[in-house]
Amino acid sequence: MEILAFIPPILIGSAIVVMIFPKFSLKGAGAVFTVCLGSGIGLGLTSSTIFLWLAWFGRPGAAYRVFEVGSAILLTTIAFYRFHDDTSGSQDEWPADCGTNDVPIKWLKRLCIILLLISAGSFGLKTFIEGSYGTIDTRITWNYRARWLFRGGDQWEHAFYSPVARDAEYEDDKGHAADYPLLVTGSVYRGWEIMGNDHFSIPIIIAGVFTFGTYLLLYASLALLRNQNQGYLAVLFMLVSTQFLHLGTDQYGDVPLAFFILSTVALFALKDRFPAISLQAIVLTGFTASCAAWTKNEGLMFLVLVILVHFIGQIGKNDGSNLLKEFFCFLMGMLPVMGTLLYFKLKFAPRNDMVNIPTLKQTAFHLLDLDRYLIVITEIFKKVYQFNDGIVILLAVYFLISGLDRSGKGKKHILSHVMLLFLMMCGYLFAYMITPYDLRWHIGSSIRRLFIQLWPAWVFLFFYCVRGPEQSAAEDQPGKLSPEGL
Amino acid sequence: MFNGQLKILKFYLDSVLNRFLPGVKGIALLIILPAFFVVIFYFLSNLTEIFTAEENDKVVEYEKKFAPLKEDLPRKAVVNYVTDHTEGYDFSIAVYVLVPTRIIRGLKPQQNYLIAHYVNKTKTPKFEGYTLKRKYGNGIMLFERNN
Repeated sequence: MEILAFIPPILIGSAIVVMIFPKFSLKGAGAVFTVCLGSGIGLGLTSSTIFLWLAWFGRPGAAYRVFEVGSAILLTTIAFYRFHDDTSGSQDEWPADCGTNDVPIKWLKRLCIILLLISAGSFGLKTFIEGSYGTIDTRITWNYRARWLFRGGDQWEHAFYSPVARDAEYEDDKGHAADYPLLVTGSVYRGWEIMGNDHFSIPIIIAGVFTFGTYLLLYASLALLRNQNQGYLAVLFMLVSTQFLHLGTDQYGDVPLAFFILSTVALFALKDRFPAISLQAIVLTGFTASCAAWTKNEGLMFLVLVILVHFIGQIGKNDGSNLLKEFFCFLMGMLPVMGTLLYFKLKFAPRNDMVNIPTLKQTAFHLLDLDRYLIVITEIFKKVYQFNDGIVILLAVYFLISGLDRSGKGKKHILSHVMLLFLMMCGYLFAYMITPYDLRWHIGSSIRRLFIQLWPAWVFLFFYCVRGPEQSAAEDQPGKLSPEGL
Repeated sequence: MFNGQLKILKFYLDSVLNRFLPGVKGIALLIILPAFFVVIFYFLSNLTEIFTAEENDKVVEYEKKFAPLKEDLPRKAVVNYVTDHTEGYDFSIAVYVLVPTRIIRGLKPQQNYLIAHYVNKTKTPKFEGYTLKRKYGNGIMLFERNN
């Protein structure tokens, strides 16, 4: 029954994607891409709307349900007409010439599906049976705040109470990371509000949507950009990274953030590969980047870096008016969720425990401490090397033997995606440098999760660049999308 | 000659690969084989953990234990909480389970109600300024301030 609560956000998000990409969004890998991306965007939007409703009108009741279902029906109707309207939109949105080089390897596809189902079984075992309520951060941060929103009545704002920011009335009366944005918390609260009870399955389903949405999004984006076999291989590789699935079962915000980082990078890659649909893709990157910011504070850093790398960094390199148009489209996509985030940060969120003026005054001198840099950089490299029992070495060996894929003009901007992820890691380095907490404790308790936030995007870029697994050179022609392959 | 033998070996391996896993290069096995074994092993190890686990999910346990207490607590009040638990998870789970009642560790500042969670004591503890209101079993007791 709880699964019904997720129909409106999935419909809303998918409808938005179909409206933007009416031609390819409901066929083959395009359909997978649409549903996965749409689920994430839909959860981002509905977590914003329910929070705003609570803040402005009070507890969401039947009126909110009507609003949400009505919005889903309206958007789906518009998307339906857009999909069927042959004369609407430009024919240029879909490249005319289609190659037929995408020949999926059937046993590889079946293996991928079977292993995904087994992984879903592992996910179910770890969540529904072993640890229904997640782990410590779930019950002191993510779902704790959702419980306050759901059970707190007129004291729901206590969800954001933190003695770090205010003078604590009582020493232990505190939430942890109370300033964290509300995509996960809001989605959990929304599910509970819709169902009328705070059943543990709602946060588990949300975690499942983002965990398996990441796998499927990875497949779909590589299927669209390269071919399906590369997508299957990438998913198989992600399944080897069991730490990703394990973190998904903890119901934290890191896996949803990883989902949005992957979707943003994949959309930018689509934009570069198929310039005909660039403006449409940019609107969606606005949605996904803002959802990243609405998930965790690291997502806000990601959003800023996206603007820096993909817009400010392109000044002088690209046509100025085109760049402005793209930035405008990005802002349009960003507006709904960013507006909610700004409202939350200004009106409700307490001061961040690390990035605030009193703490920065105490810790700024750490930036001059070379030993600290050495410790942090060493730990980061150690984590990269040791991550998931040295899986990076597997990638390195694969790359050395397989080699780079030299087809495709769209990869000219690959460096900007790599730069984006690299700058994110620099941002993490900076956060460790200024942390007021014990450095080794802070690194030990968080570095794995920070790495996992970027991991799917790194895997995407790797498989985007490396040669395919086929024995014949069955690669897509540059600049073409294959409907048969879709 | 060595090159020739290498070519024969490669041809043989390719034919074996094509027979069982047609269409892919050998290097793809570097990912396919680990995926196959890791996913299955991970599933089986999770299954084993569940069957061999000695303890249930602590939050589920606390939800059951504190359920009758929650009905007697004033909603949205602040309540003292004392325990003989040495495990770190006890307080964080109690905080989560008792929302929207806010709990503070220890006896100060004194609130109108006090929750005692004693798993190792058989005698009812005494707290200055509090009277026992009700015992709920499982070591959970609710005290009320005297005036």
